[in-house]
Amino acid sequence: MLIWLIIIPVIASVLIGFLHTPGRATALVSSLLTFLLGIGSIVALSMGADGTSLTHIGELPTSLSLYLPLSKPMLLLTVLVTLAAVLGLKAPDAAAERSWSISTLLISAGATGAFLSDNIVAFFAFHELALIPTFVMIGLYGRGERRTIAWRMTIYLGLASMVLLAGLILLYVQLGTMRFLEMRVMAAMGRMPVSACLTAGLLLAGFGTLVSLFPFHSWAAPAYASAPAPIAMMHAGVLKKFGLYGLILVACIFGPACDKFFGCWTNLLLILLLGNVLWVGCVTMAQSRLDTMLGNSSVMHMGYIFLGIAAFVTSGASNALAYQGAGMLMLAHGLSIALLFLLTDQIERRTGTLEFSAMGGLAHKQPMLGFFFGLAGMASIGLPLLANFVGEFSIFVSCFTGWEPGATPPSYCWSWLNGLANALGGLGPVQLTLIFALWGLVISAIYMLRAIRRIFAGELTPVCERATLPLSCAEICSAALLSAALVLFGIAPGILA
Amino acid sequence: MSTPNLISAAYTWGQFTPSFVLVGLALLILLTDAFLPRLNKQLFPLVGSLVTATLACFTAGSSASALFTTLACAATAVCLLMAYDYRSVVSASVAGGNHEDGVAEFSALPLLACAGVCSLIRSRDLIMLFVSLETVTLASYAMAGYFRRNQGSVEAGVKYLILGAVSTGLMIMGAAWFFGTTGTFMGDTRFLLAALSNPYLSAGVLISVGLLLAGVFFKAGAIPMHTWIPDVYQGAPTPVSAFLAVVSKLAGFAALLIILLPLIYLQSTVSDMLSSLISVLAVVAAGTLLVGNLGAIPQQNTKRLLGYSSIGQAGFILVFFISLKPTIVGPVFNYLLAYGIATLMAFAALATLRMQRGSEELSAFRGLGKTNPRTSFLITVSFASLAGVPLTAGFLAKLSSFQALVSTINLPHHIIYWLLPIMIICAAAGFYYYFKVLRFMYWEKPEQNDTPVHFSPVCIAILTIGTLLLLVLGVTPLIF
Repeated sequence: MLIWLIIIPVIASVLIGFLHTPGRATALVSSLLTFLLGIGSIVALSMGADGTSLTHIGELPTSLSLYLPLSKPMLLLTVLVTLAAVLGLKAPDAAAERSWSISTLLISAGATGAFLSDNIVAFFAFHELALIPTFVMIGLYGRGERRTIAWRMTIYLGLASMVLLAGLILLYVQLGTMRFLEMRVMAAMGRMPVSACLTAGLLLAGFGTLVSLFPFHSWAAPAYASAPAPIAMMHAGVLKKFGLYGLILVACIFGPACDKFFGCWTNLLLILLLGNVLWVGCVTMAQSRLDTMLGNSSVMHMGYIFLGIAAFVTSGASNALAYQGAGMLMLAHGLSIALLFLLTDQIERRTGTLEFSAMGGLAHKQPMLGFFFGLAGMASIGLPLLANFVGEFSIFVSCFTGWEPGATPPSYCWSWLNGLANALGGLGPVQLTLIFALWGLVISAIYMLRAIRRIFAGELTPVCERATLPLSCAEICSAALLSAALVLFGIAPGILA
Repeated sequence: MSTPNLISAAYTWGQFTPSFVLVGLALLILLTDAFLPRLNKQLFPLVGSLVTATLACFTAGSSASALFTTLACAATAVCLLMAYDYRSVVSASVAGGNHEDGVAEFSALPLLACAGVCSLIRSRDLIMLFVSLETVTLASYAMAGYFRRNQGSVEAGVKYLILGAVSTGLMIMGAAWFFGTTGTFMGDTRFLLAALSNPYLSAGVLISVGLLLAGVFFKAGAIPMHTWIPDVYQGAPTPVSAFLAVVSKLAGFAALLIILLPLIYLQSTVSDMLSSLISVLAVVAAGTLLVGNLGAIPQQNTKRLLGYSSIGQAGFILVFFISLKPTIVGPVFNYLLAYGIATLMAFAALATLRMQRGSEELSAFRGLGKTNPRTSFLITVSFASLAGVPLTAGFLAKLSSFQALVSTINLPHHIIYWLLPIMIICAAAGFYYYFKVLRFMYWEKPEQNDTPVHFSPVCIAILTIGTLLLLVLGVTPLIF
């Protein structure tokens, strides 16, 4: 049953590519089907349906599973963003429409496969399948220095994939099975990789680069700024979550032992994620174009999810709040960044520019666009009642879960940090990182509110004067779908569980 | 020690049926050409291909020798089909005016070489191994230099001949030394063990194995015997390059397995003796990976690129041998299968482009994505599989190579710690240079006068069947 989530988009791509059926219409049918199927299987499973009937083809077991940690919210994210991306898709000509639709569908199929695969090889392979259309589309239809950007991304992510592959194979060889669920059993029986430090390091470097962990992030912002809107939505919204998903998966495999497994890297991870939040945050504030700003902001927000993962890992996978918070933020960030890229494309098509300096007062001409953009911007800052808030708040609280003042005296390699931590009541590394990372909230509020003011408020500039084309029905549906999901998960986060 | 047999008596005539059929067919073609000059000579490659394909079906089986024979025959059949497609160039380059001369010999030579491969796969002693390998090599010399009016082809033939003669010399020297130290030409573990446990002889055995390996590395395309590959692939007629890249390489690795398997079985008893052999293999694998994959990066000629790529792929196959386990036969075959299918597809497409656009440079692929979108997709799959893109057979092959290395992590030699980074870099480099072809196909615009390339039905069939095989082999293991 679940296999159709992958087969339908592939069949649709073949139809579009080889039989030249209308690109967007075919993609729309396919993504609607997968949307219904995805939601249907999640609902069926939570209503107590038999999981094996979903994952088998007849009697044959497939490597797909919905019992992996976070695979349900990630599937939800994939089908939602795919539908929105196809709805909002508007290509310059028929040939471009075909290739955009094919790429969107293939990324969707690959991401679904990666999030549902219980098999380590399939997990990796489906992700790679989804990456290829991304490179091709940026190289063919990107803006600006598209070939340089596509090549840089290819080299970055190609190398990262190879590092990741090496880590995954090490994991497989040392745990003796290719299936994640069986690995968890092996680890629970006390089987620990002999070279845990090497394995964890390769996994962290590989997954980290795929999620644009500082300092391996410089491919991301230009790629998102350059990519066609549906591709940016699919990659920044859905595919990038693969690395985070993988890290949480590995942490869950080792359960209580994951603290030891990642042991030699957690402090480095904490420093690097501060790089994401603070360094890239400052870079984001300095951007003068909307698309590069959004690209950088997407890199920056990864820092919070890494913080959640760090809190989860250091607690020995017992910190449920950190796990839920990271999962929720992955979903929420995916929805909000996809919405923002969708709206950016609509703004650019109406004004012809994305330079802040040229824009102003767009809300007078495009109130609907202003409303959606405001909502998405607020969500991305982390305003309460929207999904991102739930995720960020849970992560922040979870950093202090189980912490008692002065319970464990901190020992940092820099003595001044010891002094600081002691002065603050004996903070551990995670708590200290949180205190620095919280400033990211201010940074993101600054750049996002400033962007909204520059584009939508103030004097009406000549560029925005011309932007009179109203939003089409499909564009409204697409934006409304993502906004509704953001609000829904913000008000009732519990429905995910 | 009992009196050693000079040559194993355990061969039966039946084992060599495929070789006899192929040799007979080759002679038949040559005689027909001589005595029935009016016969349509375009039939020769077709008949040859048909018979080898049938032979591939008949020899199919689950044993290692059956698998290797089937692959060799099937690949030869595909090369002959390519030669049929290529007949206009063959006649023009060989005979000048008379447009059908030279087709018969051009079809007979691959059959003879394939006969050599078939008997090589079944050989269990060094004499049979050497004679079979020489059969392959001698036929290949003639094939590489076949276009006698083409300077590049003649140069390729001479270069191949000279370097091949050196490696043959090394190999026969190794065989002689092996006989001197063990008293037998067979890879029989009893004699090997006796010689290896004798302190005066063990070094001699290792030297002899080293010399034998040097000879085999020439065929397999491993350093330091790789230098002929780019030049010969570039100069030789395209179907011949394909034959050398697939069938000849298969012969090299089959010979490597035949030489090393007895040592592998002995591993537990004489492990300290073999550790130096493992180190040598690891260094050769690393060097082959680096030379092949880094050398391919600056190439502009597609055949040179595929030549370097074949060196690089040989490096990935050599990594299997580091673990020195009897179970490597299966993964090595799977790798050769994935590599062979994709390489034959690439050469088939290149042969057509060479005929229609008159160039073998990477730029010949320019704009193919616009002019021939469907065929471009098929070509894309072949290069993606060579690069190791997931969902193709090439990915699983590369994965098993990585896995073979990683599974040695608990062994004391610690090769993994320096070889793994090299493999990662080389695999990533593979993505770079194989995708250069795709970049020309999709990113470059076709020139004004570029009309769609006409791919013959034969070429389309090779590409389509290859694509299906690569995808099916690459996807099914992932889903179940």
